[in-house]
Order: sequence, then C-alpha cells, then structure tokens
Amino acid sequence: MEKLKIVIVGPVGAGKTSFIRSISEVEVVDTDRRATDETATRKHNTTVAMDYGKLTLKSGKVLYLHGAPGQARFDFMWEILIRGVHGYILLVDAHRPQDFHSARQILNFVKERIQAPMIIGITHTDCEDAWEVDDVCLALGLLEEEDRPPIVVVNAISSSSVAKCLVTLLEHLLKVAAAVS
Amino acid sequence: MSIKGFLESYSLPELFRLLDSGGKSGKLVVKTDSGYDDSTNNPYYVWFYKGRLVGVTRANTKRNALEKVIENGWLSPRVIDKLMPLCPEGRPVGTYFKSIGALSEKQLNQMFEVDLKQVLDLFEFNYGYFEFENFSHLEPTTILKKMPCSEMTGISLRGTEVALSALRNTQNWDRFTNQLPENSSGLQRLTPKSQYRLVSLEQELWKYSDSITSIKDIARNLRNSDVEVKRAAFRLMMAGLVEEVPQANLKPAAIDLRPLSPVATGASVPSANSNGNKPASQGTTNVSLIRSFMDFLRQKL
Repeated sequence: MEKLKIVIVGPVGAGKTSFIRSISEVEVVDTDRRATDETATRKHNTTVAMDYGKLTLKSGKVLYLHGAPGQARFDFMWEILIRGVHGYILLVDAHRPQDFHSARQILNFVKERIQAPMIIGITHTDCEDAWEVDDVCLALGLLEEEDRPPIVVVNAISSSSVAKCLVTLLEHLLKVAAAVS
Repeated sequence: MSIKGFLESYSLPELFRLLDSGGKSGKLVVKTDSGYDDSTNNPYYVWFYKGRLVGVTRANTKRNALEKVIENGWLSPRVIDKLMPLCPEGRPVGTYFKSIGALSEKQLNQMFEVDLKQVLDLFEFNYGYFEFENFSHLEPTTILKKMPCSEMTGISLRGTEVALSALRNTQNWDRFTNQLPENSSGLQRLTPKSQYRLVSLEQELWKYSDSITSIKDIARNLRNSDVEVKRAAFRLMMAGLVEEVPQANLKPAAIDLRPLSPVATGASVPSANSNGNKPASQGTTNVSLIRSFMDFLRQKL
C-alpha cells in the first residue's frame, strides 16, 4: 500500500492536535493528559504521546499525520517520528512570543539533523496580540525571504485551512523532488 | 499587529537581536515594572535605525543627550538654545554640533555612553512590557523626521552588540534559564568571522561551534563549568553569531521501516546537511502519490 507520512511539530499549544483532528478521517487517538509541569500553565492537558490521524483515498493510498508531543525533548520520540517521514509542518503560534525560542530550536533541529522538506504554519494570527508573519520569521531566525521554507497562515480548527496547508507542503515536496532528481 | 509582549516572555536580548537582524527602524517602548523604577507612567523610548540603537529617551524627560553637555560645562544652556534652531531637520544634534566645532568626537562618545548606560540598565529588569512602533516601511527621510534628533548624538550601535554588552555585564541569569542552550546541543556558526571582539571564553566557544560538539563536551574540553559555557553560548546566540542546534542520537531509520515504510520509488530528499553530516533517513517521494493527495485535499478547500 502506498503511504505518505507527514509529521506536525511545534511548541506546546501551537495547534498540532487540533490540526490533525480537523482533517483526519478517523477519530484522533487522544493522547492528551493533564499537564503536571510548567506546561500546565499553558494548557490543562498536553500531548504526551504522538497524535495520529489519517486520510485514505478510494485507491487505498493513505496519508498519515503524526503530531509530535509539544514538550518533547529531542529524544527517542524523534527516532520514531522520523521513520519514513516525507515532510514536516512546523506550527508556530503568532501571539505567543514566549514559544518562539522553542520553535526556533525545533526548526534548527529539523533543518540540521533531519533535513526532510518542511513548511511553516503560523497559527493564531487573528489574535489581538499576534505578531506579523514576517516578524515571527525573524524570531525564528529566518532572515532572508528567499531562504525561507514556504510559510502559510493556518487556522488549525478549520479543515479547509488545514487542507490548504497540507497542499502547500505537498507542492513543496514535489519541488524538492524535482530539484534533486 | 506589532512586535509586543512582556519581558518575562520575550527577553530584551532576543528583542534586540530580532530588531537588528530585521534591520528595523522605529521606537521601542519599554515600560518596566519594578519597585524602584516603575516606568509605567514614564516609559523608555529606545530608538532604532536600520537595526542599530541610535538613542534613548524618556516619555516625560527631554534633552537626555544634552544633559551631559550642560553638566560638564561643554556648552551653556543659553548656547544650546541658540544653536538648536539652526540644526537641520532630521539631523542628530550631536553630529550637527560636531560639524560646527561646538563638540568634539570624544564628547559625543561620552554623550552616547549616557544613552547606552540607560539601555544596559533596562536589560536588568525582570518584568515589563514592550511594544515596537515600526517605521521600517517609511522613507529614510520620513523615519529621521520621526526620530528625536534634538536628543540624539548621531552615534549608533548594532542591536546585537548592545545585547552582547548587556549579557556580559549581567549577574541576573535566573530569568534566562529556559533560554540557555541544552547541555546536549551543539552550536553552529552563522558567520565565518565574528564582527565583535570576543572575550576569552567566547573565543574558545566560537572555535568549537561546529554544530556537532555538545555544550557539555565543550565545557569539559575547556575545563569550565557547564553553566558558564551555556551563558557564553547564549551571549553568542544573542549576538547573532551562533545558533543552537539540538542533538539527538538518531539511529538510521533503515533498521525497521516496514510499519511506516515510505513508497519505494521516486527521488529522495537531500542526503547531507550543511556540515556534511548524514541526516536521519526520510521517505522517498512518489510524485503520483503526492498528486493524488493534492487533488483530494483541494476538494476540501
């Protein structure tokens, strides 16, 4: 069976679980548990294992979506996440500057250690305190526009917005594939 | 939608690095919240031009830069009042006074030190609110007209250099605990050569910034404490010289790919990163499979 595997990464509360829930054809396995550490100040519940969702075509082809636990260190969990991965979406909450540092760490990790094609989804841009997308990029260390991965504004609770974000990633996969073939 | 937030959420060194790297021009309003200097009603205005610090003023205090001139008796208030109207619009008063021989370069530098001292003091606050009024989209002449030229020396310093100085002087490191690099992380150089003069530990750290060697190993090699090395690493990060690269002991994915096996045909993604290290394995890309899902997802738009 032909499969695609997409991994959604990002800081706690960026919208990873919502993103997968919005588009998955199957009930997303609820891996949220009551947060007991500093994460508790952000969310009452946080993802402690990988969220998982999927989309299946009539032909039987499957697209798997995996969400990385937000508070995960760069440990064994990543080894599982990267197996057979085709692309990443890094979700960043535009109105939580306190998370930009963590998002930047994840971005550097994926860029340097994994190097799978990646796009960035900026969430919560409609919030009052949201930063401009360009300023979020600067906070992530993405200085030159031409060096940036594709960046999309995404509403993680809207299935059409999530679909658009996934299409952007798939387009990027094709571009990367064309560039190296 | 502007750059704004709380200092406890987004630190001043990060903010100065961001304004520098973005070449931002504008007014950074900082309202500190502390018992001995509550500036809620008299906020600091820190002025940037193309990512460089050009001056600092207070909302309710005028003539910051010229205070030193009067204090030291370099010029009398009467002479200053006479000369001020002659200063062309959009020109810092310091450079104008120097151009007519009223002040020397050394005196200008001393004036700028007063500004710098105020900014460095700001870095010591744990709590406060900031908001950046962005002028970057305006024409340079319009930006200069918005600047408090009558209180500016004309001297400037890169935002990252200010952050580096502030972090070298601070003893108050608790607030940066969550931002210090991990012991297991490596450091990657962002520029081939440092544009700033580095102190000894920073120089040593710079040499080890190969993105592979962990902070812990660097500390061991340098016979220094992890904490000191992490702080020095943070300084270099905020100076825009290095980037933290988290490490993970990723085993080759080929061990067992079956449950999540990618499709076997098509082009693969790049196989080595910028340092020539072999990245962890990823799936290969099947063009028709991707197109099928693109069509499927477009129906949901």
